[in-house]
Amino acid sequence: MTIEVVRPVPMREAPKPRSRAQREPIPPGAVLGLISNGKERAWELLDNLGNVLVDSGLFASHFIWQKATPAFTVTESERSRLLARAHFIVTGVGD
Amino acid sequence: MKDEQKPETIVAESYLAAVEMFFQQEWTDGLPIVPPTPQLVWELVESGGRAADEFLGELPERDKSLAVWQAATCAVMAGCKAEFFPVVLATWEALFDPRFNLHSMLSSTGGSALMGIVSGPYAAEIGMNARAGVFSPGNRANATIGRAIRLGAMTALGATPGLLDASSFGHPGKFSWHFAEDRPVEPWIPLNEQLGYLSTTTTVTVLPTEAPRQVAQRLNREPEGVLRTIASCIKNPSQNSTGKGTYYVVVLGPEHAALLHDARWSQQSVREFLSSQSRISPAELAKSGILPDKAQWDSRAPGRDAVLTTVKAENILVITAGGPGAGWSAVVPCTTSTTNTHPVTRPVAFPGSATRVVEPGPTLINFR
Repeated sequence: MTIEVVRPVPMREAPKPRSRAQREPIPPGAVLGLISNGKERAWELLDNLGNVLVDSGLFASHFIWQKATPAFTVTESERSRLLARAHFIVTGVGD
Repeated sequence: MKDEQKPETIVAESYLAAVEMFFQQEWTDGLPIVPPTPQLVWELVESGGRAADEFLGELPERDKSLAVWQAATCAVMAGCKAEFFPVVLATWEALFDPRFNLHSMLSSTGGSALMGIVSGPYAAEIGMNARAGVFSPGNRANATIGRAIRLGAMTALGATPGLLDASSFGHPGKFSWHFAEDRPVEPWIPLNEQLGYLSTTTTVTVLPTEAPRQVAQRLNREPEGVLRTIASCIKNPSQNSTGKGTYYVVVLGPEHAALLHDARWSQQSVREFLSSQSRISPAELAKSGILPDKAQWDSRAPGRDAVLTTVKAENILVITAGGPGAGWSAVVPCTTSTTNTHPVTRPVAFPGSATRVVEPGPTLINFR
Protein backbone atom coordinates (compact mmCIF):
# COMPACT_ATOMS: atom_id res chain seq x y z
CA MET A 1 0.00 0.00 0.00
CA THR A 2 1.41 3.36 -0.97
CA ILE A 3 2.25 6.03 1.57
CA GLU A 4 2.52 9.77 1.07
CA VAL A 5 5.28 11.49 3.01
CA VAL A 6 6.47 15.07 3.43
CA ARG A 7 9.90 15.98 2.11
CA PRO A 8 11.97 17.55 4.91
CA VAL A 9 13.80 19.59 2.29
CA PRO A 10 11.77 21.29 -0.42
CA MET A 11 12.64 20.50 -4.02
CA ARG A 12 13.31 24.17 -4.67
CA GLU A 13 16.27 23.92 -2.30
CA ALA A 14 17.88 21.08 -4.18
CA PRO A 15 21.48 21.97 -5.10
CA LYS A 16 21.56 23.90 -8.31
CA PRO A 17 24.33 23.60 -10.86
CA ARG A 18 26.74 26.48 -10.48
CA SER A 19 29.04 27.89 -13.09
CA ARG A 20 32.58 28.92 -12.34
CA ALA A 21 33.22 32.58 -11.61
CA GLN A 22 34.73 34.62 -14.39
CA ARG A 23 38.51 34.27 -14.34
CA GLU A 24 40.39 37.54 -14.68
CA PRO A 25 44.10 37.83 -15.47
CA ILE A 26 46.23 38.91 -12.53
CA PRO A 27 47.26 42.50 -13.26
CA PRO A 28 50.82 43.71 -12.74
CA GLY A 29 51.44 44.87 -9.20
CA ALA A 30 48.53 42.86 -7.86
CA VAL A 31 48.02 42.64 -4.12
CA LEU A 32 46.93 39.36 -2.51
CA GLY A 33 44.86 39.36 0.65
CA LEU A 34 44.85 36.32 2.92
CA ILE A 35 42.27 35.85 5.64
CA SER A 36 43.50 34.17 8.78
CA ASN A 37 40.97 32.54 11.08
CA GLY A 38 43.19 33.28 14.05
CA LYS A 39 44.02 29.70 14.90
CA GLU A 40 47.50 28.86 16.08
CA ARG A 41 50.07 29.04 13.27
CA ALA A 42 47.50 30.11 10.67
CA TRP A 43 49.38 33.38 10.29
CA GLU A 44 52.68 31.56 9.81
CA LEU A 45 51.17 29.25 7.22
CA LEU A 46 49.54 32.07 5.32
CA ASP A 47 52.65 34.23 5.42
CA ASN A 48 54.67 31.40 3.92
CA LEU A 49 52.01 30.93 1.27
CA GLY A 50 51.98 34.63 0.50
CA ASN A 51 55.75 34.77 0.21
CA VAL A 52 55.77 31.82 -2.19
CA LEU A 53 53.19 33.48 -4.42
CA VAL A 54 55.02 36.81 -4.34
CA ASP A 55 58.35 35.11 -5.08
CA SER A 56 56.71 33.35 -8.02
CA GLY A 57 55.93 36.71 -9.55
CA LEU A 58 52.16 36.28 -9.51
CA PHE A 59 51.69 39.05 -6.95
CA ALA A 60 53.62 42.14 -6.03
CA SER A 61 52.76 41.90 -2.35
CA HIS A 62 50.48 40.22 0.15
CA PHE A 63 48.88 41.05 3.44
CA ILE A 64 47.20 38.97 6.08
CA TRP A 65 44.01 40.02 7.81
CA GLN A 66 43.00 38.11 10.91
CA LYS A 67 39.44 37.59 12.04
CA ALA A 68 38.69 38.44 15.66
CA THR A 69 37.57 34.85 16.21
CA PRO A 70 37.33 31.76 14.01
CA ALA A 71 33.71 31.31 15.02
CA PHE A 72 32.19 34.18 13.07
CA THR A 73 32.14 34.86 9.36
CA VAL A 74 33.60 37.97 7.77
CA THR A 75 31.09 40.82 7.89
CA GLU A 76 30.02 42.81 4.85
CA SER A 77 31.92 45.88 6.01
CA GLU A 78 35.07 43.87 6.64
CA ARG A 79 34.67 42.28 3.23
CA SER A 80 34.35 45.68 1.57
CA ARG A 81 37.46 46.97 3.31
CA LEU A 82 39.44 43.92 2.28
CA LEU A 83 38.32 44.18 -1.33
CA ALA A 84 39.46 47.78 -1.35
CA ARG A 85 42.97 46.69 -0.40
CA ALA A 86 43.50 43.66 -2.63
CA HIS A 87 42.97 42.37 -6.12
CA PHE A 88 42.39 38.83 -4.85
CA ILE A 89 41.32 37.51 -1.47
CA VAL A 90 41.91 33.94 -0.35
CA THR A 91 39.66 32.65 2.35
CA GLY A 92 38.74 29.29 3.83
CA VAL A 93 41.89 28.58 5.79
CA GLY A 94 40.77 26.27 8.56
CA ASP A 95 42.39 24.27 11.29
CA MET B 1 0.45 29.59 2.85
CA LYS B 2 2.17 30.69 -0.33
CA ASP B 3 2.77 27.97 -2.89
CA GLU B 4 6.52 28.33 -2.71
CA GLN B 5 6.37 27.85 1.06
CA LYS B 6 4.18 24.77 1.04
CA PRO B 7 5.81 21.50 1.91
CA GLU B 8 6.06 18.99 -0.87
CA THR B 9 5.18 15.33 -0.65
CA ILE B 10 6.36 12.16 -2.28
CA VAL B 11 4.50 8.89 -2.65
CA ALA B 12 6.40 5.72 -1.78
CA GLU B 13 5.30 2.23 -2.66
CA SER B 14 5.15 1.10 0.96
CA TYR B 15 6.07 2.03 4.48
CA LEU B 16 9.42 0.26 4.23
CA ALA B 17 10.04 1.78 0.81
CA ALA B 18 9.55 5.21 2.40
CA VAL B 19 12.05 4.36 5.12
CA GLU B 20 14.59 3.24 2.50
CA MET B 21 13.95 6.32 0.40
CA PHE B 22 14.90 8.56 3.32
CA PHE B 23 18.17 6.63 3.67
CA GLN B 24 18.87 7.03 -0.03
CA GLN B 25 18.14 10.76 0.09
CA GLU B 26 20.42 11.08 3.15
CA TRP B 27 17.58 12.47 5.22
CA THR B 28 18.44 10.39 8.27
CA ASP B 29 20.96 10.27 11.07
CA GLY B 30 21.92 6.76 10.11
CA LEU B 31 18.91 5.26 11.87
CA PRO B 32 15.53 4.48 10.31
CA ILE B 33 12.99 7.27 10.57
CA VAL B 34 9.25 7.33 11.03
CA PRO B 35 7.82 8.26 7.62
CA PRO B 36 6.36 11.77 8.02
CA THR B 37 2.88 11.55 6.57
CA PRO B 38 1.05 14.85 6.07
CA GLN B 39 -1.42 13.88 8.77
CA LEU B 40 1.30 13.31 11.37
CA VAL B 41 3.15 16.46 10.37
CA TRP B 42 0.07 18.66 10.63
CA GLU B 43 -0.84 17.12 13.94
CA LEU B 44 2.47 18.29 15.34
CA VAL B 45 2.20 21.70 13.67
CA GLU B 46 -1.13 22.22 15.41
CA SER B 47 0.28 21.13 18.75
CA GLY B 48 2.85 23.92 18.50
CA GLY B 49 0.25 26.59 17.87
CA ARG B 50 2.24 28.36 15.17
CA ALA B 51 1.75 28.78 11.47
CA ALA B 52 3.30 26.00 9.44
CA ASP B 53 5.09 28.41 7.12
CA GLU B 54 6.49 30.58 9.90
CA PHE B 55 10.28 30.67 9.83
CA LEU B 56 11.96 29.69 13.06
CA GLY B 57 15.27 31.04 11.87
CA GLU B 58 17.81 31.23 9.13
CA LEU B 59 21.55 30.84 8.67
CA PRO B 60 22.46 33.31 5.92
CA GLU B 61 26.07 32.11 5.98
CA ARG B 62 24.93 28.86 4.44
CA ASP B 63 21.70 30.11 2.79
CA LYS B 64 19.57 27.79 4.88
CA SER B 65 16.46 28.28 6.93
CA LEU B 66 13.96 26.28 8.95
CA ALA B 67 10.19 26.62 8.92
CA VAL B 68 7.77 25.26 11.48
CA TRP B 69 6.56 22.56 9.08
CA GLN B 70 10.16 21.37 8.58
CA ALA B 71 10.70 21.21 12.32
CA ALA B 72 7.47 19.24 12.60
CA THR B 73 8.47 16.91 9.76
CA CYS B 74 11.77 16.14 11.44
CA ALA B 75 10.03 15.68 14.78
CA VAL B 76 7.74 13.07 13.23
CA MET B 77 10.77 11.41 11.63
CA ALA B 78 12.40 11.30 15.04
CA GLY B 79 9.38 9.62 16.63
CA CYS B 80 8.04 12.59 18.61
CA LYS B 81 4.55 12.64 19.99
CA ALA B 82 2.54 15.80 19.41
CA GLU B 83 2.92 16.94 23.01
CA PHE B 84 6.72 16.98 22.61
CA PHE B 85 6.61 19.55 19.83
CA PRO B 86 6.37 22.71 22.00
CA VAL B 87 9.70 21.68 23.54
CA VAL B 88 11.14 21.17 20.04
CA LEU B 89 9.99 24.65 19.03
CA ALA B 90 11.45 26.28 22.14
CA THR B 91 14.73 24.51 21.41
CA TRP B 92 14.87 25.88 17.87
CA GLU B 93 14.08 29.38 19.11
CA ALA B 94 17.02 29.16 21.48
CA LEU B 95 19.36 27.71 18.86
CA PHE B 96 18.62 30.48 16.37
CA ASP B 97 19.42 33.17 18.91
CA PRO B 98 22.53 34.91 17.57
CA ARG B 99 24.28 34.47 20.91
CA PHE B 100 24.33 30.71 20.37
CA ASN B 101 26.06 31.12 16.98
CA LEU B 102 24.39 28.09 15.41
CA HIS B 103 26.19 28.28 12.06
CA SER B 104 29.57 27.94 13.73
CA MET B 105 28.49 25.39 16.28
CA LEU B 106 27.14 23.17 13.50
CA SER B 107 30.31 23.55 11.44
CA SER B 108 33.23 23.27 13.83
CA THR B 109 35.73 20.42 13.82
CA GLY B 110 34.99 20.28 17.56
CA GLY B 111 31.91 18.19 16.83
CA SER B 112 29.38 19.71 19.24
CA ALA B 113 26.20 18.09 20.33
CA LEU B 114 23.20 20.41 20.68
CA MET B 115 22.44 19.73 24.31
CA GLY B 116 19.06 20.79 25.64
CA ILE B 117 18.29 20.99 29.38
CA VAL B 118 14.57 21.04 30.06
CA SER B 119 13.69 22.60 33.40
CA GLY B 120 10.17 22.93 34.72
CA PRO B 121 6.91 21.04 35.19
CA TYR B 122 6.17 20.26 31.55
CA ALA B 123 9.16 17.91 31.41
CA ALA B 124 7.46 15.49 33.79
CA GLU B 125 4.10 15.96 32.07
CA ILE B 126 5.46 14.58 28.83
CA GLY B 127 7.40 11.85 30.57
CA MET B 128 10.96 13.11 30.21
CA ASN B 129 13.62 11.34 32.25
CA ALA B 130 15.67 13.21 34.82
CA ARG B 131 16.85 10.31 36.92
CA ALA B 132 18.34 6.88 36.43
CA GLY B 133 19.96 6.66 33.03
CA VAL B 134 19.30 10.32 32.30
CA PHE B 135 21.90 10.28 29.49
CA SER B 136 21.04 6.77 28.40
CA PRO B 137 18.73 5.48 25.68
CA GLY B 138 15.28 4.23 26.66
CA ASN B 139 13.13 7.30 27.24
CA ARG B 140 10.98 8.31 24.27
CA ALA B 141 10.69 12.01 25.10
CA ASN B 142 14.41 12.50 25.81
CA ALA B 143 15.48 10.53 22.76
CA THR B 144 13.05 11.84 20.17
CA ILE B 145 13.11 15.53 21.09
CA GLY B 146 16.88 15.66 20.79
CA ARG B 147 16.79 13.57 17.66
CA ALA B 148 14.24 15.93 16.08
CA ILE B 149 16.72 18.76 16.51
CA ARG B 150 19.62 16.89 14.97
CA LEU B 151 17.51 15.72 12.03
CA GLY B 152 16.45 19.31 11.41
CA ALA B 153 20.05 20.45 11.51
CA MET B 154 21.13 17.73 9.09
CA THR B 155 18.30 18.07 6.58
CA ALA B 156 17.20 21.70 6.58
CA LEU B 157 20.45 23.32 7.71
CA GLY B 158 22.92 21.16 5.83
CA ALA B 159 24.83 19.93 8.89
CA THR B 160 25.98 16.73 7.23
CA PRO B 161 29.27 15.19 8.39
CA GLY B 162 32.01 15.73 5.87
CA LEU B 163 30.21 18.65 4.24
CA LEU B 164 29.02 21.60 6.29
CA ASP B 165 29.56 19.62 9.51
CA ALA B 166 33.33 19.42 9.71
CA SER B 167 33.45 17.39 12.93
CA SER B 168 36.68 15.49 13.27
CA PHE B 169 35.06 13.06 15.68
CA GLY B 170 31.80 14.26 17.12
CA HIS B 171 30.27 11.98 19.75
CA PRO B 172 27.10 9.95 20.38
CA GLY B 173 25.41 12.95 22.01
CA LYS B 174 25.02 14.33 18.51
CA PHE B 175 22.32 11.76 17.83
CA SER B 176 20.19 13.22 20.57
CA TRP B 177 20.79 14.99 23.83
CA HIS B 178 17.79 16.43 25.56
CA PHE B 179 17.14 15.60 29.17
CA ALA B 180 15.15 16.89 32.11
CA GLU B 181 16.60 18.43 35.20
CA ASP B 182 15.65 16.72 38.44
CA ARG B 183 14.17 19.35 40.72
CA PRO B 184 16.68 19.92 43.54
CA VAL B 185 15.85 19.89 47.20
CA GLU B 186 15.08 23.33 48.63
CA PRO B 187 16.56 25.81 49.19
CA TRP B 188 18.32 24.91 45.97
CA ILE B 189 16.26 25.96 42.96
CA PRO B 190 16.02 24.51 39.46
CA LEU B 191 17.64 26.09 36.44
CA ASN B 192 14.48 27.83 35.18
CA GLU B 193 14.16 29.71 38.45
CA GLN B 194 17.89 30.42 38.59
CA LEU B 195 17.38 32.14 35.24
CA GLY B 196 14.52 34.22 36.59
CA TYR B 197 11.52 32.32 35.23
CA LEU B 198 8.51 31.37 37.27
CA SER B 199 8.49 27.88 38.69
CA THR B 200 5.44 27.18 36.53
CA THR B 201 7.34 28.06 33.33
CA THR B 202 9.21 25.27 31.63
CA THR B 203 12.38 26.31 29.83
CA VAL B 204 14.87 24.79 27.43
CA THR B 205 18.53 25.82 27.77
CA VAL B 206 20.79 24.91 24.87
CA LEU B 207 24.56 24.72 24.76
CA PRO B 208 27.01 23.22 22.24
CA THR B 209 28.82 20.52 24.15
CA GLU B 210 31.37 17.78 24.09
CA ALA B 211 30.55 14.35 25.44
CA PRO B 212 29.82 14.07 29.15
CA ARG B 213 32.52 13.00 31.54
CA GLN B 214 31.36 10.74 34.35
CA VAL B 215 32.94 11.73 37.65
CA ALA B 216 33.35 9.01 40.28
CA GLN B 217 33.73 10.03 43.90
CA ARG B 218 32.58 7.32 46.30
CA LEU B 219 34.61 7.57 49.48
CA ASN B 220 35.24 11.22 50.28
CA ARG B 221 32.50 12.58 52.52
CA GLU B 222 33.88 16.09 52.56
CA PRO B 223 32.03 18.51 50.27
CA GLU B 224 35.23 20.24 49.21
CA GLY B 225 36.72 16.87 48.42
CA VAL B 226 33.85 16.00 46.11
CA LEU B 227 34.05 19.39 44.44
CA ARG B 228 37.81 19.14 43.96
CA THR B 229 37.22 15.86 42.16
CA ILE B 230 34.70 17.54 39.89
CA ALA B 231 37.06 20.49 39.38
CA SER B 232 39.86 18.12 38.40
CA CYS B 233 37.62 16.91 35.60
CA ILE B 234 36.80 20.45 34.55
CA LYS B 235 40.48 21.39 34.28
CA ASN B 236 41.61 18.26 32.50
CA PRO B 237 44.45 19.58 30.31
CA SER B 238 43.51 17.45 27.34
CA GLN B 239 40.14 19.13 26.86
CA ASN B 240 39.82 21.75 24.17
CA SER B 241 38.23 24.28 26.48
CA THR B 242 40.55 24.00 29.47
CA GLY B 243 41.96 27.37 30.37
CA LYS B 244 40.06 29.20 27.67
CA GLY B 245 37.19 30.76 29.60
CA THR B 246 34.20 28.65 28.73
CA TYR B 247 31.00 27.19 30.07
CA TYR B 248 30.47 23.94 31.88
CA VAL B 249 27.39 22.04 32.93
CA VAL B 250 27.92 20.20 36.20
CA VAL B 251 25.26 17.58 36.72
CA LEU B 252 25.27 16.53 40.34
CA GLY B 253 24.08 13.03 40.97
CA PRO B 254 21.80 12.44 43.95
CA GLU B 255 24.52 11.43 46.43
CA HIS B 256 26.79 14.38 45.71
CA ALA B 257 23.86 16.81 45.59
CA ALA B 258 22.65 15.54 48.98
CA LEU B 259 26.13 15.81 50.50
CA LEU B 260 26.50 19.42 49.41
CA HIS B 261 22.94 20.33 50.28
CA ASP B 262 23.18 18.81 53.77
CA ALA B 263 26.44 20.67 54.40
CA ARG B 264 24.54 23.85 53.53
CA TRP B 265 26.48 24.70 50.40
CA SER B 266 24.50 27.04 48.17
CA GLN B 267 24.46 26.60 44.41
CA GLN B 268 26.41 29.85 44.02
CA SER B 269 29.08 28.72 46.48
CA VAL B 270 29.42 25.49 44.51
CA ARG B 271 29.88 27.48 41.30
CA GLU B 272 32.41 29.81 42.89
CA PHE B 273 34.46 26.98 44.36
CA LEU B 274 34.50 25.05 41.10
CA SER B 275 35.40 28.14 39.11
CA SER B 276 38.34 28.98 41.37
CA GLN B 277 39.52 25.37 41.47
CA SER B 278 39.40 25.07 37.70
CA ARG B 279 42.24 27.51 37.16
CA ILE B 280 45.27 25.89 35.67
CA SER B 281 48.80 27.15 35.22
CA PRO B 282 50.81 27.03 32.01
CA ALA B 283 53.22 24.74 33.86
CA GLU B 284 50.44 22.27 34.59
CA LEU B 285 49.38 22.40 30.97
CA ALA B 286 52.95 21.84 29.85
CA LYS B 287 53.22 18.71 32.02
CA SER B 288 50.57 17.20 29.77
CA GLY B 289 52.27 18.42 26.63
CA ILE B 290 49.85 21.28 26.12
CA LEU B 291 51.42 24.38 24.65
CA PRO B 292 49.14 27.27 25.62
CA ASP B 293 47.49 28.85 22.63
CA LYS B 294 46.16 32.34 22.13
CA ALA B 295 42.77 31.56 23.67
CA GLN B 296 44.44 30.31 26.81
CA TRP B 297 46.79 33.28 27.05
CA ASP B 298 43.78 35.57 26.64
CA SER B 299 42.20 33.89 29.66
CA ARG B 300 45.03 34.58 32.04
CA ALA B 301 43.84 35.51 35.47
CA PRO B 302 44.99 39.05 36.19
CA GLY B 303 48.23 39.09 38.12
CA ARG B 304 48.36 35.32 38.41
CA ASP B 305 50.26 32.59 36.74
CA ALA B 306 47.09 30.78 35.86
CA VAL B 307 44.57 30.69 33.09
CA LEU B 308 40.87 30.57 33.63
CA THR B 309 38.84 27.62 32.50
CA THR B 310 35.74 29.58 33.44
CA VAL B 311 35.74 33.36 33.37
CA LYS B 312 33.29 33.60 36.21
CA ALA B 313 31.34 31.34 38.50
CA GLU B 314 28.10 31.91 36.63
CA ASN B 315 29.63 30.23 33.60
CA ILE B 316 29.16 26.93 35.43
CA LEU B 317 25.60 25.68 35.29
CA VAL B 318 24.91 23.52 38.32
CA ILE B 319 21.94 21.20 38.02
CA THR B 320 20.84 17.93 39.57
CA ALA B 321 19.94 14.80 37.63
CA GLY B 322 20.85 11.17 37.35
CA GLY B 323 20.04 8.07 39.33
CA PRO B 324 21.24 6.59 42.60
CA GLY B 325 24.54 4.78 42.56
CA ALA B 326 27.83 4.71 44.36
CA GLY B 327 28.53 8.38 43.89
CA TRP B 328 28.45 9.64 40.33
CA SER B 329 28.16 13.08 38.83
CA ALA B 330 28.85 14.37 35.35
CA VAL B 331 30.76 17.24 33.83
CA VAL B 332 29.84 18.49 30.37
CA PRO B 333 32.22 20.96 28.73
CA CYS B 334 31.05 23.51 26.23
CA THR B 335 32.93 22.95 23.02
CA THR B 336 34.35 26.44 22.79
CA SER B 337 34.96 29.65 24.67
CA THR B 338 32.60 32.42 25.71
CA THR B 339 33.94 34.44 22.78
CA ASN B 340 32.15 32.13 20.39
CA THR B 341 28.93 30.98 22.01
CA HIS B 342 26.66 31.29 25.02
CA PRO B 343 23.95 29.13 26.57
CA VAL B 344 20.54 30.37 25.50
CA THR B 345 17.23 29.74 27.21
CA ARG B 346 13.68 29.95 25.91
CA PRO B 347 10.40 29.20 27.64
CA VAL B 348 8.17 26.48 26.26
CA ALA B 349 5.05 28.10 24.83
CA PHE B 350 1.69 26.48 24.22
CA PRO B 351 -1.18 27.15 21.82
CA GLY B 352 -3.46 29.80 23.20
CA SER B 353 -0.84 31.25 25.52
CA ALA B 354 -1.39 34.94 26.14
CA THR B 355 2.16 35.76 25.20
CA ARG B 356 4.63 34.02 22.91
CA VAL B 357 7.75 34.74 24.92
CA VAL B 358 7.65 35.16 28.66
CA GLU B 359 10.46 37.45 29.60
CA PRO B 360 12.34 36.29 32.69
CA GLY B 361 12.56 38.31 35.85
CA PRO B 362 15.78 39.23 37.60
CA THR B 363 18.22 36.39 37.15
CA LEU B 364 20.41 34.83 39.75
CA ILE B 365 22.94 33.87 37.15
CA ASN B 366 24.00 35.82 34.11
CA PHE B 367 25.83 33.86 31.53
CA ARG B 368 27.43 36.83 29.79
